[in-house]
Amino acid sequence: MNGIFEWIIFLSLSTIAVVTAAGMILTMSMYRAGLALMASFVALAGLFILLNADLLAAIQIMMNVGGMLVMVLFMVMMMIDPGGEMMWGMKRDMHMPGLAAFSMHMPRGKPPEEESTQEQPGTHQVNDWTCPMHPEVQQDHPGNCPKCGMTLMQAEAQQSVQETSNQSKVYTCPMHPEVREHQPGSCPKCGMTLVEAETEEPHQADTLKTYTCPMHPEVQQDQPGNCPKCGMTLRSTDDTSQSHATGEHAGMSMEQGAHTMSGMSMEQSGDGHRSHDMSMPIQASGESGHDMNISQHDMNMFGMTPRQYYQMMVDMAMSTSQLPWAIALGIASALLLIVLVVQTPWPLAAGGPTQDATNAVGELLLSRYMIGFEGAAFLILAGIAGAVLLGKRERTQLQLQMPSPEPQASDAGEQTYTCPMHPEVRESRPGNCPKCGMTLIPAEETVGSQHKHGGHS
Amino acid sequence: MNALLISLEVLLGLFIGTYCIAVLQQLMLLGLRRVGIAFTLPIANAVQLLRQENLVPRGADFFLYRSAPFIALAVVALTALVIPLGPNLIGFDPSIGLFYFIVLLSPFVVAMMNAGWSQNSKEGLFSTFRAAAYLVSYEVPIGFAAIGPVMAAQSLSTQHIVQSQAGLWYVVWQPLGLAIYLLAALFVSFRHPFDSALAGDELEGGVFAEYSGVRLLLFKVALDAIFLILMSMGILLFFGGWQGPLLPGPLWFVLKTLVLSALVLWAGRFLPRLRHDQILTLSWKILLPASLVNITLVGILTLVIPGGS
Amino acid sequence: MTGNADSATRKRPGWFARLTHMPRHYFAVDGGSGAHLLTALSQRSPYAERVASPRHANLLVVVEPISEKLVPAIVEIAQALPRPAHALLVGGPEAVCDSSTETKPADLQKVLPGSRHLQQVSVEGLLDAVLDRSDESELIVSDGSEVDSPTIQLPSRQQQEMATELAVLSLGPIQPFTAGPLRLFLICDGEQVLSVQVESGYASRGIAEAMMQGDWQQALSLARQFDPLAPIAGQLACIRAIEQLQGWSPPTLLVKLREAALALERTQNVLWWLVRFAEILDVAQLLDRSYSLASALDECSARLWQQSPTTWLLPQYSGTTAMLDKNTATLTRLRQVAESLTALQRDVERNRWPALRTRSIGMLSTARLQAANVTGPVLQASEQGEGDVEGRLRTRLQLASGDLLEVAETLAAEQFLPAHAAYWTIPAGEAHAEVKGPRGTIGLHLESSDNEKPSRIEWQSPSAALLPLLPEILAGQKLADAEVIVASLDLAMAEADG
Repeated sequence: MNGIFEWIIFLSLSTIAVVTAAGMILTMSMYRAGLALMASFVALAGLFILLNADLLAAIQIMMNVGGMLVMVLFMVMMMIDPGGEMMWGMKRDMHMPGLAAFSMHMPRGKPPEEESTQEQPGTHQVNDWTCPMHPEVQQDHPGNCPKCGMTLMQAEAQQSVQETSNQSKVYTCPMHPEVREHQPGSCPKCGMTLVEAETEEPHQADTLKTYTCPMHPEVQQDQPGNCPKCGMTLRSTDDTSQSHATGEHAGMSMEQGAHTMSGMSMEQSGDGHRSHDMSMPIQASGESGHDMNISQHDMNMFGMTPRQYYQMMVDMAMSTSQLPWAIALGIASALLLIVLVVQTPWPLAAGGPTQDATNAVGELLLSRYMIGFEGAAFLILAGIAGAVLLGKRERTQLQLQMPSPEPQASDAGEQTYTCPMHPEVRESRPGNCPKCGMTLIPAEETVGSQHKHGGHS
Repeated sequence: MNALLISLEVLLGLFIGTYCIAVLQQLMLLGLRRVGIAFTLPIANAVQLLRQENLVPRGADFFLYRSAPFIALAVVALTALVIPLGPNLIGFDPSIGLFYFIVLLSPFVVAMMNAGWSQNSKEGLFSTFRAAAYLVSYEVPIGFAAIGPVMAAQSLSTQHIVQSQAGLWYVVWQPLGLAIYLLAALFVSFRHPFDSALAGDELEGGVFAEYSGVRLLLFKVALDAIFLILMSMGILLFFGGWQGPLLPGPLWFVLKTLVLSALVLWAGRFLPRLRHDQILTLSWKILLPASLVNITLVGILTLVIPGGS
Repeated sequence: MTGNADSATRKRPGWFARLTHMPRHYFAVDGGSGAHLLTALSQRSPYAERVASPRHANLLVVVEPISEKLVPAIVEIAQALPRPAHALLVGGPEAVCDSSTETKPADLQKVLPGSRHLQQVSVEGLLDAVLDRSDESELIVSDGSEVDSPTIQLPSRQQQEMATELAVLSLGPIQPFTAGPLRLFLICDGEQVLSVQVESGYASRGIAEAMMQGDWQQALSLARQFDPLAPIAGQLACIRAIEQLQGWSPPTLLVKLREAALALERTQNVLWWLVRFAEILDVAQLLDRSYSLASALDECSARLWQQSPTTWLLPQYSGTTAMLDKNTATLTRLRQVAESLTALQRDVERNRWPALRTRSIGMLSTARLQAANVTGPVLQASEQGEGDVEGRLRTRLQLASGDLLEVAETLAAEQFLPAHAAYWTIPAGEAHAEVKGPRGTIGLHLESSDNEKPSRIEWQSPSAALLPLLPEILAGQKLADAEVIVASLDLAMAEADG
């Protein structure tokens, strides 16, 4: 091939590879990020072809399109925040430059003392630490709950909330204040542990609230969530705060551009992501906009001690205090690799990969190592057959064991509650599963419900 | 210059072949008594689409919506390069031709997914994830089905695979491989009964719901072209390619491809459109074990039979 | 071996004309009375192809009457068509005369000015109009009606359970799964339908109210329009109720002839439904066979009668010369169609492939159906088997086959019917009549206080009984299956909305 032509192809492909890779981290959409990564690797495959390494190029494309893109798709389908896009976008919207763009600043200063020195009015001087979800867990020092891993809170923090208010507890997410649950658990949006919140309107804590979309008032439901039409966060009908009506959600249109089978436009953002509501409950104070100094207001808002708040900020930072060391080590490794590649201090073989090399590899695999292929195929087949047979056997046994009578109304003390998805979770009282947040059900119901959940044929 | 000429020849052949597939489909729909209409209607449909307005929905992804049909066509053109019409009548002959072909099929499905996703409509999004199901459905079966001929020919080159069938076509002793290959090929080409991602009535056109005009035409051409290419690759892998008595090699190759295409299209008339989860079930629970059985059988036969094939 | 055996192409243009003949891709809108017409048109000519998305169409075909409620949907569809595009309005049955503005049909000429209007309702005429490009102007949409957004109730937390993110898919009001417009909000978790909200009323014409406005003749004419796809059933129900009030019992032979006309209509409905169902399942071979049969039966039915049954279905009227045309060739052809239908029924029962999409979905218990006053093939399928989609398909074919064989026998027998004039004096009283319609039992409760006009009319529609069951029957189904289930119920929205 002509030298100048080669250079043009090389520069074009290299530019595409770098630009698309950069584009991967500049987009909020996991789907676009996956495609950008795929494009980058396909451009790299083009570079392999330039080096006459066709096989490597083909493998490169196969692995990235067939493998990585599929992984991206499943992440989009299954995960609440695939690839951390939501968290990443939130930080970007807060205009955090530099390192903070990749990770929130860690809270500054030393962690506060574990014992709270701030006297809460009307509380007892009880040094018990307890779990918000498991009151039976009590210890005299802070730590994590042995049952669910939640950070223990001081018992008086719970007592003070109970004494100052007669309403039932409301739990909220530090990241999503619109999430309000009457039981502890995890935030349905980001998975963070819910913390107690002050209820501003106590009379409404027990009444059923209706949540609606600021853009689609016709959508109504009895719990918080996202609008199924546009993805915006649903607001309580009592909430007088204004919605982010413009520019916050992609692809909203009722005009010619989109239609349904009826012609009624009900489109939503094509990437199907969650709300783009970027309101942050915590207003940073201090000189820089992202200085995470703890404020009294913030602590009181969530009923947390300074130590608890500090722990929460460490979680949100998604980082480590060793980050500077990690960065230094990464840069040093990269420099070392570049030096090695440029200098190549090891003996080099003459020439580059040839077509014969691929043929030779193919011949070796297909002639000498045929037995290996056969053996691998047989083992895989045996594995699949075994899994199917064992699976059938297990299902048959479960069916035989399934009790037929209805669950008896028994004393509360004898009743065990379990999670339909996690049967190993056993609690003595109703509540939420610490693993997935599902409502616990009486243990006798789980066998029948397993069949109900198993049947997506 | 030579490369350019070869590329143009390949594209011309592809274009003519795609037209033949379109005519074949019309014959299936209309019957053998309406041959004239079958030959003219595809051209009339194309002209009608060329005259139609090219709409872009509001909120559609700028790049993906516009590029999807071109990506599909580019993939189709690239895969056509490794299809030999006769001995040494091939656009590009790498030693890994078959592997190159299989690898390049996945961007085609990705182009379909992009088409659905970029439309900014719910129907498009639903059909995108159905197309994603296709992506994970076809790859393993088609790879394993193609391994049979590769093991027998001990080469990934399409020309070698055809030449090694001089004694006996692979369809005779690898019928299971052919069946798996044809099913996987139908997944990739979104052909009935595996066209739920394009489901006309269910999702209002699926991935093509918002496309109109030239872009829609390009997609339709790409779909027919990929079907043609997959059938021709099937001929190469299992039916001896261009080999046959009396007639010239390329003519045999074309005839065999059209007959196989007609058979596959005809067989599809008796089946309802399958759901995408049924396609996944078919792929992972039936085709994957079947292809492993096929590899085992082919391997045994390759080792046992003197000469290897 | 393949393809549509229909040879209805009368003109055979030359090769150049064929080459330059632009195909029509049309998007069809059915106001409730055009299901059979549009189904027949869809397979009639390769140059007229029905498309699923307005984006792929260059012609909008609207079968009137259209209710005001449906107008915004039509406007949006018209706006979605890429240009150049055109519109063709097909006049349905005579307009319902009703002073109520709620059910007054919309005047689409104002909404789509410049669109062509076709009064004729035969499929041949419609096909000619679709293919004829002379004298047509560009589609203009003048109405900017606001889209009516109903409240969507999302399922409760218990029902959502592990749902990741809900999507509301609006199916309709223009969709191919029902005969007429119906809107379904499918609240889905991925491809699984969690709950369904039904919005009907798009095909409402206020038939019952209109029947009480005019005289008895007008009431009878409106009764025909109760179910535009089964006019004989509606008219016969009215006739029976009137004859009950008059205290007159028709002779056996007249009853047999009326039943024969009704049975023929039922079979026609089943066959056209089968064509639509085969289109949805996309089984080409079943589609071709059912279309051939449906067209053949239509042709046969037209030649069987001297005059159309809707002409001689009058209170106490009988007259052989006006009714049956004793054409041996037609009767032979009818018998052949009956035998072909029986063969089709056998093949459908033996063919396992469609069962991939029809077996074990959309089931409801017999008790539940009976409690909901469901009648007809849906109930019968549940009584005879599992009541799934496959069962409904088989039951309908079984009933149609039986009906057609009986009709062939009845009409072939030698018969003489003495003439009797129509009698329009209707005494006061109340009567209830039922007829076995194609989708179930159509009931009519009629009250008369004087001789001039009915004082009270109440219709019982088989499709209306099924509508409230839709959320129950569709919840938990996959999206693709939900659509097949709705199609299997054969809902006629004009009859359901009244």
